[in-house]
Amino acid sequence: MSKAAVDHIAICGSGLAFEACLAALARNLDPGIRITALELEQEQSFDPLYGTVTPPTAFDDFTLWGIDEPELLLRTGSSFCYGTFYSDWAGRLGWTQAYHLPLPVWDGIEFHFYLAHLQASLEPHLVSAVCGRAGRFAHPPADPNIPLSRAEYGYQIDPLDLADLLARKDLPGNVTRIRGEIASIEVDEGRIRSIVLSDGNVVDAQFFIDATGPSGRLMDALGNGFEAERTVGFAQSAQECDQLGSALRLVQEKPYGWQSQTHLQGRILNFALFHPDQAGAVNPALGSHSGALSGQLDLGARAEGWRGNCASIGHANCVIEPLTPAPMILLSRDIERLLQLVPITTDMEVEAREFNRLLGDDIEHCGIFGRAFYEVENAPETDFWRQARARRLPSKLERKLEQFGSRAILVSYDLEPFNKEDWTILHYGMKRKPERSHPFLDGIDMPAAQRRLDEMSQAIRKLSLKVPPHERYLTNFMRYLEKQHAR
Amino acid sequence: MKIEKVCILGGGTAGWMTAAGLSHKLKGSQTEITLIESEQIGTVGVGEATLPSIRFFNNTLGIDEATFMRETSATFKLGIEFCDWGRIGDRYIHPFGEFGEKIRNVDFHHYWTRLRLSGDASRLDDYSYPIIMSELGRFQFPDPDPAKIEASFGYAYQMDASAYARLLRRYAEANGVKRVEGKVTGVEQDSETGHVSSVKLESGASVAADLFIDCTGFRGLLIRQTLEAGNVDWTKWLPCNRAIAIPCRAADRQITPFTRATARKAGWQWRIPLQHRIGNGHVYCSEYISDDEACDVLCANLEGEALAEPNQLYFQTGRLQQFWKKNVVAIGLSAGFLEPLESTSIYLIQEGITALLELFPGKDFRASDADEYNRRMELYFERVRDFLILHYIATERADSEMWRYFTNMKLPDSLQERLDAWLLRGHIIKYEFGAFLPPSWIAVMAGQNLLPAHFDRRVDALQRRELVELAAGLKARISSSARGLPGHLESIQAFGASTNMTA
Repeated sequence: MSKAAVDHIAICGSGLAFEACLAALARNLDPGIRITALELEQEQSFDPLYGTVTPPTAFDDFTLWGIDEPELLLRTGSSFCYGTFYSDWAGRLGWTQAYHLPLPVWDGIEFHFYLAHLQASLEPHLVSAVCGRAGRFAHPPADPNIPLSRAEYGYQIDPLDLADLLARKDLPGNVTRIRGEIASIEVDEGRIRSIVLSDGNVVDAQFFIDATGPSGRLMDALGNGFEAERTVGFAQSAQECDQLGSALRLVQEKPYGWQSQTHLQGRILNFALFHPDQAGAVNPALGSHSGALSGQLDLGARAEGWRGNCASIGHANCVIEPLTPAPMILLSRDIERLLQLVPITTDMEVEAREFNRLLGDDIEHCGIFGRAFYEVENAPETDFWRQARARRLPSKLERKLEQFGSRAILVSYDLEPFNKEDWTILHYGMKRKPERSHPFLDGIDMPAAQRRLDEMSQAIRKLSLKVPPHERYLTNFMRYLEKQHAR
Repeated sequence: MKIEKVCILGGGTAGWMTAAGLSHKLKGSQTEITLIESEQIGTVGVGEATLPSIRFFNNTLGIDEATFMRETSATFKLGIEFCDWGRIGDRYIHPFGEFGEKIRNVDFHHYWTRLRLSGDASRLDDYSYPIIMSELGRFQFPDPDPAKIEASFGYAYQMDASAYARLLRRYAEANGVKRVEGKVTGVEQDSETGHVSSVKLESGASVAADLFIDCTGFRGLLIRQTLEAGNVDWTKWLPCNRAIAIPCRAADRQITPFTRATARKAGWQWRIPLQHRIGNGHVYCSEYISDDEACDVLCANLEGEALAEPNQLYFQTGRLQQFWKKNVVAIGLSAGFLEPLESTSIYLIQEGITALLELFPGKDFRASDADEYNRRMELYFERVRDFLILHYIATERADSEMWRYFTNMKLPDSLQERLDAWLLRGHIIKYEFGAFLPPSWIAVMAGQNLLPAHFDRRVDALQRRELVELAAGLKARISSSARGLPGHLESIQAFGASTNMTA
């Protein structure tokens, strides 16, 4: 294969992954590279599967896509997010999976070891959890003396609104946006030569990006098949609401699967994920509100995210359940790694290998975090849970569970998307109890540590009363932004 | 059931670091710590040059920095200068710090590559604050404001490792560690479990313990000789197997804030300036040079009067298959050996201590504790190994048999992929756990003339004029700031860390 410089990229697809990736390429790449954006008509949107919460890195991720916080809040119905409250999980568990900066280290011993030893609960010591549960929100201040500075936040979003916002953005001169239908994809020696459209037009490029959603049409054309893990049904609907709810998404376990409520400006977004045989049980629960979307699809991933001269983005390479912010994390990381690896020449083996390595790690690490939600004793005897637990526990998760169960040790792997705090909160939320205490707590004055814990939780509770309700904070913030905008 | 007795075998750097680390954590508990060492057995005194992580170790123990420096005749270390590695006559510094600042979320070295490919002659080094400081022989502590270029580095020390062991011995003994003088002549094992139950001393005395920590150096008295934990041999990748060391006198102006490693025909030579002397050594491969010749090479390259007789060391690169087996944990040279090219010996001791403290066992010695310990240590050793190999293979040298051996060597896949990504487009394959983060890889690859053919495609989004201005501004800021700093010895004096001062 001769090595020609890559100066023409084609991105093909629709929805959030397509718009976000296009925006990121247009904004960040060398303007000398020509980009053809082929937008396909969508038969069905699977964008609800990106979920309705972002991770705390969203501020930076969205900046890469050309969206800043004021724009997000003013032009979509988004609101703030301190995490997710899981209710009745496995029929009995309830906890706030809050976004939080590293927990303190006292006398060289990490905070969670004290909690485990004193059998104290974690949640009263997480400022983002306490404020979120009390329906309150404020931006975390920079001053480290204020407990709220330890909170982190993301956004509650409607992925379809986000895609719309991105689609309305102006594109620079090196981008040509066209709409069409794929008639055929011409493949030559494991590489895409061109996409022929039903109107007879041909899109050719040296490098293609598949953002066609779960159908992964370019990936399929290259013979890079999707490995399905399980089939699920989903439904989403919106319900008008005058009062903005809390800065926490609510997830509840249901006999059919789980359901979430996301608190957006002016509406509540209801979402359900369920066993495909139980669609009938879902609809009444979700209500028949406007703009309802539903469907069925396979969760799983493709063997490779990048094959030949084509990289895939978002659902085109992996569909994971939006129980956690994992789908948005994977999408953001896909875009980031693609930006880093936009090929130099048509010989792109090195880039493909690195993209696939990074993607493989991320899918594995997001996968084990999601899988850990289903690893409980006396799991509910429902089809949904049986299906979710059917696969053998991945060895990395086995090690994490074993080490935490043995002595609250948090095993970490390179560049995991869910950090130590996320795992700590999850283990405590799921009431995993370490068998043994930290070996060096013997020499520690435990009554003093208990007092310290009490003081910490009291300070957080006191502070939470001063933090305004999410609704009021957002309204005032929007008013301020509008004024700024008007200037 | 809690461990009641810990026995550390060996009192070199590893032994006393372990004793200090453990006694700090176990202070006030019922656990007794005994350290057995013999004055008849010499210590290697590893790691005169260190990595910045040693500061964390000392801080945790609460050791005052100036006191530590005075007692170990320590100097500051901003990096390592490598001479004659890529080509004879080349030199570069591997700094403890960043190159430049990110622009629009893209690492600075990509912008530098763009400038270089368009004919700009600036060195990547010109954008590194610690390199410019080193070249000027200056030192200042990092600025507390992380946004400043003056905060873009870390530092370590060059120190007398034997003095460090003495300081830690005092610290550990003050914390209740019992030191037993004696040579081990026998080992008792539990007939059922195979655990080491006690060691017998020449005096006839016997020391029993629940947990043994083997710090006996290359011999690995318990871990290798008794428990046969198995060896993973890395000779084919890192064939140097001997070293000879001689300290020499130094003039003040030779006290550089960096260590030097000069490549030789059959190995390399270290130069570690302390306050009162310079540590020198020649690491070599016995297949390509005799011991006498190696000694001659070293002696011919001493810059001052020799202060001791040559000290000869024999080793084999590699690591244990199991760092923790049954009730014995190996820390230090008993765990494995990697040549001191990047000052990693003390770092690996420290990682061993940290992991042991986190996974400190009970009397039941659960397999899961040892298993997790072994996983971590294996990762740390292997990542250091790959980084060391890089120094030998990123070269155009073919002037001796050793260098020709490296030219023809097949690399570990992980290293080959790293090189491919770098050479093609300056992409660094990142990891989170390990001693050497991206700037270290960049320093060695670029320093040894492995230069990327292209750069990240976001870089061209910046106008050339804007880039030229940004780069020139950064270079000028670094240069003018570094020129305003005090000299290295002056900083040691001002900090109250000079050995000529009384505490």
